[in-house]
Amino acid sequence: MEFINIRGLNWKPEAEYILKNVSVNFHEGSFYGIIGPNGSGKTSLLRHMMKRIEPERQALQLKGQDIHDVRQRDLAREMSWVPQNTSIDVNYTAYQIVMMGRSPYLRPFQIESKGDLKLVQEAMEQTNSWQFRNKAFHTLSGGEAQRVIAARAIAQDTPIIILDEPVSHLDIRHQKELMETMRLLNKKKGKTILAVLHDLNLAARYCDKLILLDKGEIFAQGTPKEVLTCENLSKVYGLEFYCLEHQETNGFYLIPK
Amino acid sequence: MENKSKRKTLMQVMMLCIFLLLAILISVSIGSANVSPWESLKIIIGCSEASEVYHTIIWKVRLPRILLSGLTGAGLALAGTTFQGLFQNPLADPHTLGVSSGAALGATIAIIFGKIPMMFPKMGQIGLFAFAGALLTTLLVYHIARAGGRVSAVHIVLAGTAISSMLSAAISILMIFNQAQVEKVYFWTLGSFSGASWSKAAFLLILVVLCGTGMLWHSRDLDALTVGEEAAASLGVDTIHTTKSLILIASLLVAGCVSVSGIIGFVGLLMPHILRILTGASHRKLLPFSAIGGAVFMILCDTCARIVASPAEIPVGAVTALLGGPYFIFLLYRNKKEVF
Repeated sequence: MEFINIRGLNWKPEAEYILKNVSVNFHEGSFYGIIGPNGSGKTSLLRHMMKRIEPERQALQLKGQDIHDVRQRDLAREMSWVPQNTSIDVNYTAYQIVMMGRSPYLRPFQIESKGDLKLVQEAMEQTNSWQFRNKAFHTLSGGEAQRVIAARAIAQDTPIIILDEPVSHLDIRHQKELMETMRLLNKKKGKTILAVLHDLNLAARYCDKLILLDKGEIFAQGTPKEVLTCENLSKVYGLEFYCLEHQETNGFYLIPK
Repeated sequence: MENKSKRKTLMQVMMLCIFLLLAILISVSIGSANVSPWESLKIIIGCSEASEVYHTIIWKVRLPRILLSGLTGAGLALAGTTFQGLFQNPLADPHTLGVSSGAALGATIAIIFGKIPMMFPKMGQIGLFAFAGALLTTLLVYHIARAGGRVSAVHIVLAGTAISSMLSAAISILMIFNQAQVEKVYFWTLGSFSGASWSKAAFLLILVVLCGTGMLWHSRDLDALTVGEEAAASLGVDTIHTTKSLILIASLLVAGCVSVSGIIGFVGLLMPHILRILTGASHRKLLPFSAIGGAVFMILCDTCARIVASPAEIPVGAVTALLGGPYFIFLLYRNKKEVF
């Protein structure tokens, strides 16, 4: 089933197009990576999906419904969001932050149910953050904080999880752990994952489909093998790459020349 | 863990309520006429043989004043908590949006041109003008901030500061041309509960309950907004609508407080900070706790204002700043990292 359907999306806030004639479909249950150089429009595309930027009418549909007509609260039950890095100066505990993931389902004055508590605990255990649930969020390290935010997105229990460069501030171990968690959610619970990634090797390893953006346009889309060709990359990034096959992981790796 | 935290919350609520009752009892028995706390308590519950004079002092003079000061403290603290959460700005307070300057200009106009025939009694007229001034200023600031597209916290604070300066200038000019009224205007801007009455207290009680409920209705949205506007949107908060209604609710409450008491600074800034350390930042807890804390603080400050220079009164706004300021600085030193 098509979850998100984007047809001919343009965005021109000022003189230049940031997004130009972008058409792409996101299907249920796949792991998508959005890649491209800085300023190629990756985050702008995400912001359209999150309704932070209002697209033109009929350009963006969620489950067949024009996103204009989707209320913010209903949108938050369809997709959750993990930003690049989160700094919160307010005195919330990690647990309270993750519990916020349940707010799209709670009415004013409603107390969180046992089910909510359970979902929050599960989400925190999955991201290995349950042990510091009572710590103040602002005292956590970057990696811990990012795991808590990922837990919030998981607790939000949406069919789609959107990640905007989720691992750029994480060390290599936490990068791997977060990506593994997302892949597990994708495979076990059929969640659709949509991640903006800078690390092409991570993208190649975890994503089913890649969308390569360049100057606001889709340059290529398809499987990692189809998209991450030396030809595409040299055109988009202006760099030559070595492409190495690796037997053990049955993957391929890109190293800039 | 959950049970333990519930018990802790209950304990904190009880503590605060005990403080509130103590503050009321202290305040009701202190003053130029000497009534012991025990005697006042008996008068309040209606089983005292004390003379009629004491009844009058307690019921007609002190109780309405205590109620009014408590409610004003609660109202300002609620508004401060809301503004700080909404603008993700620890420095935001009820006067950030120029609310107080608007009220002051309204009051100044009422005091200076008070001879215009009016169907309201003189005191009520000042209050009414202050209320109108505060509300009009809020709307003006909000619309200026909205001019650039969507309302951002920074724009609101900047617009509020600019309007605030303009209105203060207007007040100064009005005062220069009406020097006979300077003292009255000046004292009004420093705040006082000396004009307290049951009807004012009832008016403010309704306002505090209504606006407080409105804020609690949005408490989860406020939590999300404190984490950031974008995050709040991703959690399903209609940020524009919520921001708009919370600004209006909080400003209405401040306008009400200012109209009965004049301008009293610092309570709205201080209370959320103190209570946040005690309860954490979750607004479901923080809002009611701030309200009670604000009430206790204001009742004590007003008691000081009444007795320190008795029989003269010092402005309660000066007391709140003198008592609250050092404590706030102490908090800054102690919790450098957890101010907000």
